[in-house]
Amino acid sequence: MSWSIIVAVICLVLLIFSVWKEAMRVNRGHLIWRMVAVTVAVAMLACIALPLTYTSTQKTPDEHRAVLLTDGFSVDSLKQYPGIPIFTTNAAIKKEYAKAILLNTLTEIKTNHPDITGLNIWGYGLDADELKQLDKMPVRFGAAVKPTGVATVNWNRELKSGEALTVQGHLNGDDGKPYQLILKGLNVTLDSITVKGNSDFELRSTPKIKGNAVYNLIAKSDKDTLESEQLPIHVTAVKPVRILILASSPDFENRFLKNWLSANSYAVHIRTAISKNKFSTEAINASQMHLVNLSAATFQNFDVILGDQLALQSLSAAESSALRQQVTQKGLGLIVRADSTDKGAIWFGNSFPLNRISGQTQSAAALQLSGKTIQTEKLVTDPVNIIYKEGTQILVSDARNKALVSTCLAGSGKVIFSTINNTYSWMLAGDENDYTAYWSLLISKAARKAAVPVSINLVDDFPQVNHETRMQVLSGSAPGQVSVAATNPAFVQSVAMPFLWSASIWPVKPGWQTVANIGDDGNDFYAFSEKDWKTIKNMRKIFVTNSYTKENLLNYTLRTSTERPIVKPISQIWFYLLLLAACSFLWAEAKFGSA
Amino acid sequence: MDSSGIQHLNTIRSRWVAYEVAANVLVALAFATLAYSVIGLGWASAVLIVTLLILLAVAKPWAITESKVAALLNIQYPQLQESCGLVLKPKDSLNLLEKLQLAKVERALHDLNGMPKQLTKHLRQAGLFLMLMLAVSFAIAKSGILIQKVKSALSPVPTMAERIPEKVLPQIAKNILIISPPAYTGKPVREQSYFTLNVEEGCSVKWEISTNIAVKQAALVFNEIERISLSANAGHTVFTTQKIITKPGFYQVDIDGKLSDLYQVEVIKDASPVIRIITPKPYTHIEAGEVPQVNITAQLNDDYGISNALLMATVAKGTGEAVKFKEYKIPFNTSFGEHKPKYDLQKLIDMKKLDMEPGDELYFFIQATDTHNQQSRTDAYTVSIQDTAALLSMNGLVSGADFKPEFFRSERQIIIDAEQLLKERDTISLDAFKKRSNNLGIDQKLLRLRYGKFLGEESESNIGEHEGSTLSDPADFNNVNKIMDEYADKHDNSEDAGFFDAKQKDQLKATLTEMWNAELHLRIYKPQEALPFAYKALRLLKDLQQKSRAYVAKTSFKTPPLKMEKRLSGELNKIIGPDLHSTVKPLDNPMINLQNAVSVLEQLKSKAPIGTQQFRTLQLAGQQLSIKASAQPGVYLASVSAMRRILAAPALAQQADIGRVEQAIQQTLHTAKPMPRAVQTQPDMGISQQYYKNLDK
Repeated sequence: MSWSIIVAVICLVLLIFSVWKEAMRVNRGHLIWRMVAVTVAVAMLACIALPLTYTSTQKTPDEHRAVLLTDGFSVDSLKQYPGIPIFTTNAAIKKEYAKAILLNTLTEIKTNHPDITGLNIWGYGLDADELKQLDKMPVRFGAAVKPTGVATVNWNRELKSGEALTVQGHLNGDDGKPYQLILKGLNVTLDSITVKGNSDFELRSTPKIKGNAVYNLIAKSDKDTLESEQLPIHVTAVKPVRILILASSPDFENRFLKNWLSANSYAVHIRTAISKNKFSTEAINASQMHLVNLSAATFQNFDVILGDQLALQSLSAAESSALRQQVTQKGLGLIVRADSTDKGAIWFGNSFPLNRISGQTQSAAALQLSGKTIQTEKLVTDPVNIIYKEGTQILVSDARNKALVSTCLAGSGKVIFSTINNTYSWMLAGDENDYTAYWSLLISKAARKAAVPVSINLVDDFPQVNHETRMQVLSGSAPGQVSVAATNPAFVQSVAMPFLWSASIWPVKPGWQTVANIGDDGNDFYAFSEKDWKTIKNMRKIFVTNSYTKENLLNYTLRTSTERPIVKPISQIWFYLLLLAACSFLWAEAKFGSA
Repeated sequence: MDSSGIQHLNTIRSRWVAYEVAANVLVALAFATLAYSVIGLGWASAVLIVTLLILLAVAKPWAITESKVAALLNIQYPQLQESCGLVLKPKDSLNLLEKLQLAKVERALHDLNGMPKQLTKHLRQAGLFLMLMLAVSFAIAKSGILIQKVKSALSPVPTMAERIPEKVLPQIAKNILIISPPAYTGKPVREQSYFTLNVEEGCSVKWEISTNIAVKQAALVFNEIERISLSANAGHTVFTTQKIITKPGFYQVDIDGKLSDLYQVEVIKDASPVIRIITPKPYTHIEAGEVPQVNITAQLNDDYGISNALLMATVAKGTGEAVKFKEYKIPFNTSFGEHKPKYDLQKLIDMKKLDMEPGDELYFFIQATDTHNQQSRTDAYTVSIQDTAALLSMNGLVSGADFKPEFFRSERQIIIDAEQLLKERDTISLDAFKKRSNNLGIDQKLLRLRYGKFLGEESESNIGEHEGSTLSDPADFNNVNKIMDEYADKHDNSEDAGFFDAKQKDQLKATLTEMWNAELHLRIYKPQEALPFAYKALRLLKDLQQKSRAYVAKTSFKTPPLKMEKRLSGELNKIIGPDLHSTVKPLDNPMINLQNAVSVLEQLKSKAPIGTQQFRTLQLAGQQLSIKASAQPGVYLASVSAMRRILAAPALAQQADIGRVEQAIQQTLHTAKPMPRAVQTQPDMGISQQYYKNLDK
């Protein structure tokens, strides 16, 4: 305060003195202007000496934000946050970026720093559990560059013996750059493919083993291994289906089929018409059965009925309706081999209109089986094909895409209609593979669905060690003392679906987790370790953090702000400029004004 | 006295020549030494001779003359006063002054002691060169640059023992394996100091194992089954045994109950001899008229040696039921005494010597035996001689359609005549032979022209009808038609258009070509060479004739019509439908243990403890692998060792061992086939059934 008075007094004295000097000057030109200039100059000097301030009100947002670093962050992105607290929950990041404050859990932010109202997240983001801990705190997310590696993957983990393992997925990487993907099983390379970055891939192999195994998927870029990941699979033996063959006459096709099925331990019954109302019956790998008069009770014993058209037509009305009822109500499968008889009379006949090409003889053609990439060896086929009709599915077609075998739903069962009658010639030519593929396709497609009493699912597709995993049991009754890796999880019945029981499991060791005391063997699941499938986890983190951000965006412009008075200093440059102008005028007037 | 000068000069000259030759020999030797160190002894001697010849041819030491010697002496010795040449001049041509000088020179010559150094200059240089080359060769030989190359060329595949050092029991101080290859290999006895065996089938192997301390007993365990005790010496420190190796596998050394690592036994099988017939082709047809002989060339190869090879020939004579076979064993002219691994064989078979006639066939194959008494043989090759008898017979012609038999007979007649002419060749004069041959040629030409007419060819000479121009008849003056007839070509005469189809025409044309060729050879008095063409023409004609026939099938009998009302109306009550029952036992799958072992190994990988049942599975899988290893030790031995280590301490199993066993399992198992199976439904307390029922309403 005293400083202001001193300045004021000095300036006043100086002003009076200066004005007096000006007034006393001999040359009285521009007197008024000189007076003004002197006054201004002294006033400005005073202003410079006394920094002037003014008070105004200002809207200030309630900005109490912090930065959270996750894997994959870039140090450069932190320059814009001077003086803002930087957190991380990852010790490795703390080591890399020492300024970061290491937290044990994200809840610490709320408890220890209650004033923080928003987070800027950098890196791959957080997973769903961690986001839950944030408790709807608004965030802004600066996602890291998409990590290079296998971004998505899927494979059939539960396999039946003979079923091919198919690994499909998407690879992140530089566009146009080649990457190698290798499928390894039991230390042997089984399949490999070279793909460009950011493209899909598919690898195939048929496992030879039974039980649990861990295959490997290796992603490479030139010599560098990007990832080496685990593909746990479980292979179970095939449970044979029960088959009844109805034949209007003995023929090679049925004979070879019977031999092939029985050699592979399938239960086969055959009823062959040898004369009017006379049948020869045969039971292989199964107990004998009365097959002369067929009834619903008889059909109940089978999963698939295979017959030629004539044999089905010559069934009595009762037999025929029993068969139909079994197929439509109970899901029995029916495979019909076409012959030259008119099939208008059969109940499913309308689904498979035939196209007989007149004037053409039999021709050899390679067949395309549905779901197979390679065509079969050539087979001599009749010049007949099935005209496609809506609601049917083509199972086998020839090279010109004409349907030879087709299927349609019949109630809860399936009917397969085939125009091929000489697959045994594959067997005669020693081509067991094509024969097996053909009949496996047809019988598997038709077979009555097997009901299992208990089935176990895991909700998470990558169960991770030290992370919660939800296990679901589908069962009519409460699961008993199920043990998972020697612990007994407590199952809770779903309110909406009474057959759904779920429990949460925390695997403590990576690797196979034995599931015992429930259902058949082979319910074991594999717990991945923290470092497995990093790329996928990071991609998922980016995704869930992004969706969390959409719901809880940190946006201060939308929030309320408070008005506060603030004292602002006036910039001194103006005073200097005015002082300079006044002095310049006085100088110029003294120099040129007299002239 | 007067000749002494010349004698002296001659002595010097002959020494000079000798020194030069010696120098050349030394240079050649130097090159040969180098060659010896680089490419071996055989080549070195060749290099020696060639170099020596070249050097001698270039240097020509014998061309050193006395005058050259004299010139040399003149330069070397001033006391000769540049007059040594006088010695060579004939005495009579010398003048007095020269004679005086000669006397002086001869004296000086006589007084000369020693030889001029010039003479041995080349010899000394050559000597130095030789020393240098010896040093270089020695350096090359010692450095082993080339030796290694030669060695690697000899044994391109280093054996297992060379690659991986073996783990030997600590008690064993020294082990010597004396391998005596069987006689058929012709290889010498060899020794080795490692246990891994890679020996010929039937080898006798003797083990001599010395231990550093006295050991109670020692034995060899083959394929985990066969146990051979080793006999010890008095001090129980040296053990020996012997065994003949016939099959591959592995073995271990057992010293006082302590088993060693697994050692591999690979057996090199003796391959059967390989026979390749270069000529003739698998089916050879000798046309009538060609020389009935066949030249057989073949190449035999074996890995050790061939002891014998035979040509097995069978001659089939006659046709139909009257066919007779006669077998011959024809040896090759080559001797197989040396048991070389490769032979090139040749044999000329004269069919006539085998008593073969036209229409007969010869089947032959070559059979070779190697030193191990393994035999192999080729496919049967066939050589047939064309049957002229059937071709020349008139059967089928007599009854045949009217296919100008007289023309056909003519071709046949030409052949018969030509053969007759050949038979009589030695008895008739050359002129007569030529004339008859030419006449036959003319006949052949006429025949060709006649057949040519069928094709619409024009006759090229006045055969038969053209008796001279008829135009000179005054009555025909201005007769346009007649003049046109005479001078115009009538191409499109409808009568000329053949009744043959294109195929027949082609064959007819081919026949005419053969006739042309036959005629050509007859005209140049070579009826022997004309015969094959004539036969071919005949065969084609006969084919034509057969083709012109029509075939009418026999008619069959007619069946009485069926009575439809009676059809399928028989009594079948008493017929019982057959009801069969059988059970097909599934084949034992020996691989099931290997399949199951994988999940046990999977458990071991995650360090989980395994139960006794799982341990048993591993044991069975291990047995399966050792069975595999005894057949293919090279592939499976490492995994068997790994499996043993795992079984010894399952809790401490190494990842590398598990990996190796898994790899062997993957390699051993067959790919499973996709078998029919039913889709499983999930338990839902009938909800989906309920849904379906409601949907169906």
